[in-house]
Amino acid sequence: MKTRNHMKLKNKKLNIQTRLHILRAERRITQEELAEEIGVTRGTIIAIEKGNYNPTLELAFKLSFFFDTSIENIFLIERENEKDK
Amino acid sequence: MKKINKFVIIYFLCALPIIAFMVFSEISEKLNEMAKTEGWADWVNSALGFSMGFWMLSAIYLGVALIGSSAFREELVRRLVRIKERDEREVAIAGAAAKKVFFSTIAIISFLLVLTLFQINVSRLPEGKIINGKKHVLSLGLKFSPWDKEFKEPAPESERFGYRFPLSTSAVLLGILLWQLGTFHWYSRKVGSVND
Repeated sequence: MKTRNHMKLKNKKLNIQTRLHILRAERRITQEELAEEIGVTRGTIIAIEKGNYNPTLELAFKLSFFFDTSIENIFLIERENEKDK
Repeated sequence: MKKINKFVIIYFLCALPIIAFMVFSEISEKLNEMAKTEGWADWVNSALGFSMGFWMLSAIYLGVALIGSSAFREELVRRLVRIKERDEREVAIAGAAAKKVFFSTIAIISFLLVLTLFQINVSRLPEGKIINGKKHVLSLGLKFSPWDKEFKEPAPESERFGYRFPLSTSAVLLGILLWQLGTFHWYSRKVGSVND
């Protein structure tokens, strides 16, 4: 079965980018405050913002609820073939 | 953690340096001799003997509790290695660290098991048995015995009860290795099983 974009996903490493720091700056809240609000440690927020840690779906939804936006608006996938379009 | 467990752990750890000093120094032998003539030495000797007896009991209690109670085991090990699992990232880090430790422990135990199984001897041949001018012979051996060679059953007349760990080093290492592999396999199947 082929995917919508005919991407070969089997051995593909997805490059996930985050806009968490931008959304946080827009709301003017600190990493500590955000961590407190969604029930994680500040280290986890730092790791997500630096791209060192991909959160679980549950935490991603918590972040989307907190910022009142979609998950796709917080986490973006940089596709290799986007430049070709 | 239960109060009794806390007390036993604190006693076990606090008394450990004193017990180690008593075992590795000759102070207990000197005190035994002095106790025959000096009153205070007899008192100190009795106190140290009682402390050591209680420490051994606490060691046995901790050993049994670690095997028997998974809650106690988790609590104690968590404190010893300072595992923090405050959120999903820390749980993932603890899991990754545990995996590293598990794999490296398997490797170390396997290596030690191989070392205990093999025997390598280089021996000099007697003058009359020299073959083609070769004076030494290399022999390789492979042996596994589950029982410790030095273990002897206590003679029924001399001792009413005797205890010494009867298993050999090879048997212990093999047992731990099988336990680790078996437990990991069982637990991962149990957790990973999908019920339709």
